[in-house]
Amino acid sequence: MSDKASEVYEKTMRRAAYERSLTRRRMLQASAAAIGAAAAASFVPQEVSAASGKVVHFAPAGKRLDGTLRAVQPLFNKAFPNIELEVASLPVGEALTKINTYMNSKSDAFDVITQDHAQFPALDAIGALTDLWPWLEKDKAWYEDYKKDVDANYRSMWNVPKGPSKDEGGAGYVAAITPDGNAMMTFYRKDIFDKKGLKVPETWDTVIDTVKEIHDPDNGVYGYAAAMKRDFWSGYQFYGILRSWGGDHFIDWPNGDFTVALNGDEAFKSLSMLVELAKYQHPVSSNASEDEINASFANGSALYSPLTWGTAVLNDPTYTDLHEAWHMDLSPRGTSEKSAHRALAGGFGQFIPTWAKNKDAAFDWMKFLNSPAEDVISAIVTAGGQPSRSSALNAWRDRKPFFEGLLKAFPVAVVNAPVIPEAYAIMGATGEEVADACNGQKSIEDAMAAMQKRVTRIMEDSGYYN
Amino acid sequence: MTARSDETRLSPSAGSALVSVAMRSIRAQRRRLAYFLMMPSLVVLIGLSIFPAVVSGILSFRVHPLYNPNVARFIGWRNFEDLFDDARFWESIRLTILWAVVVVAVQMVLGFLLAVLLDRKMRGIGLLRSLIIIPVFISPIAMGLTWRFIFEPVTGLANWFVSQLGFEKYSWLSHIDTSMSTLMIVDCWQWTPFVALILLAGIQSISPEVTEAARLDRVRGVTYYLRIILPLIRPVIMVVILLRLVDSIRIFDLVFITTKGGPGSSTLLASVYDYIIFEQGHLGLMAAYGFLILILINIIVVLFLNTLYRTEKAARLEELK
Repeated sequence: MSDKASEVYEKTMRRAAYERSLTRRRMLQASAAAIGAAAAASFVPQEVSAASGKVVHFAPAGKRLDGTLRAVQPLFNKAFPNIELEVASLPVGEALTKINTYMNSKSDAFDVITQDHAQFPALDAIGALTDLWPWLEKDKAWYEDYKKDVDANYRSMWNVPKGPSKDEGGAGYVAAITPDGNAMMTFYRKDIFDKKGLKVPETWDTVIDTVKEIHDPDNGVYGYAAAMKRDFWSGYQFYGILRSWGGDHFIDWPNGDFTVALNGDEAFKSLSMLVELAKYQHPVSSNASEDEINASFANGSALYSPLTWGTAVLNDPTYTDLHEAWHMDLSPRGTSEKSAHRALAGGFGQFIPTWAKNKDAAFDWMKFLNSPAEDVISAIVTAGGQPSRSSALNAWRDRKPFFEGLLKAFPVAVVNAPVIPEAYAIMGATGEEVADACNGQKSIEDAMAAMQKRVTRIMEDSGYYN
Repeated sequence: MTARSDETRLSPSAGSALVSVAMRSIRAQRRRLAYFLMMPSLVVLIGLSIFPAVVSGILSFRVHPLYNPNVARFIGWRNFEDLFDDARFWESIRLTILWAVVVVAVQMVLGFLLAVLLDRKMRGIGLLRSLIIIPVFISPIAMGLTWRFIFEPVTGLANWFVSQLGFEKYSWLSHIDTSMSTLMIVDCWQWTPFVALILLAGIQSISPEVTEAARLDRVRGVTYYLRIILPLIRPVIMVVILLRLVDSIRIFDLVFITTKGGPGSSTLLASVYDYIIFEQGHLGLMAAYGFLILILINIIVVLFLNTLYRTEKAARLEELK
């Protein structure tokens, strides 16, 4: 019997003795209670950790990000009274760069950090990531359950290098775990599509016709909306289409060929599609990040987006009256041989910085946050989160069509950027050119030439061609 | 006794040497005290200004990717060459100059008119002056976010008003043709009261004898302001222009929050572009651009101060004649 079980047993027996008038019935009750308590306590030891002290978790702000942490925090405080948890946050646009700056300065201010997937190669280059194996090894039951429940394709994105981890026969180490699942998908108003007898476009060649069918700007309704803010937002839109045509930023980066391929046919088709779609776009799109696009979906002025990161918020009745009307599906694919549905997978993972002061307690918190326990999942989902665990997605899919979309997307998910430290710079550079082309400030050809030149320069600077 | 006194008495030359040593010691002590007292300011100046400037100067000659610092190295003038070859860089300089000229001109004209309106004795004028300065104190982030929602093209407050007045909805921040002017409106809304209050202080510091004499000479209306007030507050005007000009060239927060330089690159002002270069991790390029902005601001300030000095000198000479 564990210490805790013995303590509960003794306490129960003392109480029974104190009552003096021991009847056989009471004795049986006391014994049953003691056995029950001992049995219950035996399931707890993983949560009653020897770790203690303070854990500071830094996360970008937002319902889905720091919001879910704060929702789980009271449950954690109850289960781990010895660990003092503090959640710190900054607006998402600022946080992503700041995290890398903190890590460049080897800051020990944080024990856990939530960061976007695309930043992990850069964090690895800085030496900021901790191999989580020593802690995963200590609680194999939890790890096995996590592995079984989170789609392998999605989970392996958080290993460095991407792919199976060493314990699964691969080369990577587990650098982060994530209770947050995300992928670029099609968002559409099912009620409008049903009413007009439209199908969700399966391929890019049917997208414009579909948009034309539902576009009605005179009545304040737009057929297309997307986060086309300059910089990386536009970069992701472009990359989403490019991948679906079988293209990429480089000829074959997984095998080490980093020759820039942004002057090819796939890049042309992808950029042309975005320029064409811009003619029908909701006016907020040209300056929009996810927040503005979600607002345009929520207020009913935008009806369709073939590529959106989105969030589960559109299925939240407190956010929009249209929470049942918004459905999600796979984004369109190209029509060439190389084409396929390739959902850009994003999401945020939690890592322990190399310079963290309280790694044991930090991992306890991460494990708790990634627990399959119903109350934890419920806290995350009701706070606006979007789990990565299939069991959680399945349990909530009826109430959240977004989760249905995620379940479809994970098996065809691809990384949302080449897994190299320069990914963010590349997304930014390509995004600027895409934004200029879509706003008529550059021709498609000029924008492609500029992308090719800029990405080549980034790679040259990083010594890829030496 | 006398002999001993003679022994201890110093010759005149030895005495003056002693005095000079004592003086030197006192001067050295004073110098040490002066250095000691200056130390905090020197530490702050070196730590917060000179050191970062030197580091950033060195950085501007290096490739130093934020996301992959292992490959950092010296590259000579290449960052500057890259910037001069970049059409977006020149466009950002053009937009910044356009921005500075337009917003400062509008703010000066509107600020002066506002100052004239506020320069009168009436009930509640003190409260009005206090209220009018409120925009200056609003956090730029909060203000930027609020204006972003106001200018939301479909459901925003601005277009609601426009449509209530029977006009077509305007694209505000959402179109390359209107985004810059929309941001200028916001900047003028925020800073015109500041200009007005400074000019008002200038107007109210004019000697009553002068205004009385003008009144007796029946100088009124526009002539009074053009011939009497404006020349007298010229030094104040020049200082306000200088302050606003430098501030306008450095504008960042409002643009970053509302458009981040978009749509396309239509509001990509110098500071925003420099920050985006940083965000994309090109620390060397960012430092090079920062230096160019610094040089641009210095050129403008020197030119301006020179003009101010010359006009003031000419005015004084005129007065003496």
